[in-house]
Amino acid sequence: MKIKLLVVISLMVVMSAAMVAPVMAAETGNTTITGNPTAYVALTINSATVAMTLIPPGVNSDTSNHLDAAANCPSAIKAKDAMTNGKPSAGFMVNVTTADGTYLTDTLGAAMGISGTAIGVFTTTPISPLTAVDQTLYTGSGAGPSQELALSFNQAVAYSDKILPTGYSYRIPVTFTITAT
Amino acid sequence: MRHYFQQCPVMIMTIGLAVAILFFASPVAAINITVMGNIQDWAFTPGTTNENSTTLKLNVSTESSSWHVNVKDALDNGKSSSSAGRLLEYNASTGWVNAGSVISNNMTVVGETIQNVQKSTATLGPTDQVIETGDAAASSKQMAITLQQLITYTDRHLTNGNTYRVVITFTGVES
Repeated sequence: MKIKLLVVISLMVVMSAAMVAPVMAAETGNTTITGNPTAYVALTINSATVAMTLIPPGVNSDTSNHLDAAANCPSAIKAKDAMTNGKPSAGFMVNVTTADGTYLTDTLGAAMGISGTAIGVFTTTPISPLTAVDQTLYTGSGAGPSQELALSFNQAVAYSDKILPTGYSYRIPVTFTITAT
Repeated sequence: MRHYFQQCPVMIMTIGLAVAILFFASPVAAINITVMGNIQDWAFTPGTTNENSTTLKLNVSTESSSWHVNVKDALDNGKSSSSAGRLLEYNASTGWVNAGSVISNNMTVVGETIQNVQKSTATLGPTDQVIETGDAAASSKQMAITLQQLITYTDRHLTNGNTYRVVITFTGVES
């Protein structure tokens, strides 16, 4: 009887061994990745030129142009009179010879203003008057898809503003800049 | 008891054999893997797939002639399941910011093909995916691990002192 018992115990031990035999063995390890996208901003302007119709008296606004802006971070879009080609009178439209772009002396009596329209992550603050120093037109609060931003160029014209002959026009070059803030 | 053993040497041998099998069958470490390297403060470039193939190394030792290595995002320490496989905003003091920003695309993990080891490409997720398959025993076989991360222009650049983070778990398996 005891011999039979030992045989049974032996078989049980063998079976137990088979049960704990590993089908597979595994081991793990970890690695940690940290990072941050670099700040990204992009800005394009729809049209390089705007031909404004100036009718006195009052404020003439042109909304035919717009900006396209994208950013993955808070941003600011600023505007200024670029004062290129020796332009005088910052912020004012100045008489220019259309043939060669030479600035003359006649200016409109009021400086130009620019305004926008809040959309998406962008809020806006009107610029009036435009100057040769960057002023914030749009403020972006964070990341967002590429956004079309309205532009309104606002120019007051009075009866006292001189009508220019053919071959001359009033002109102002405006530079828009976007920066990560 | 001694009396019965003396009477039955076959019984003694049987028990001894069983015990020996028991010991040899115990699950000793049949495959050893070591992951070397972490990537800290990776400056991702928006609008492109960022790649790192030099920092991470995987070391495998096994006597098995058939094995593989899996990767997954194990969602350690409460990382949200919705961010599985993706970099999630992380605060050094408080941990995962589960309501925070998450990179829009999953990370891709690529193994390396070397002698007797075939690489695979895995899109990181919450479940195991194979990146290396071996068909021979390995003794400290080292493979480079390549990480690829597409960053879109709308992936937020963090300015609040937090960073994006993901923990990749590698598992070596005898198959």
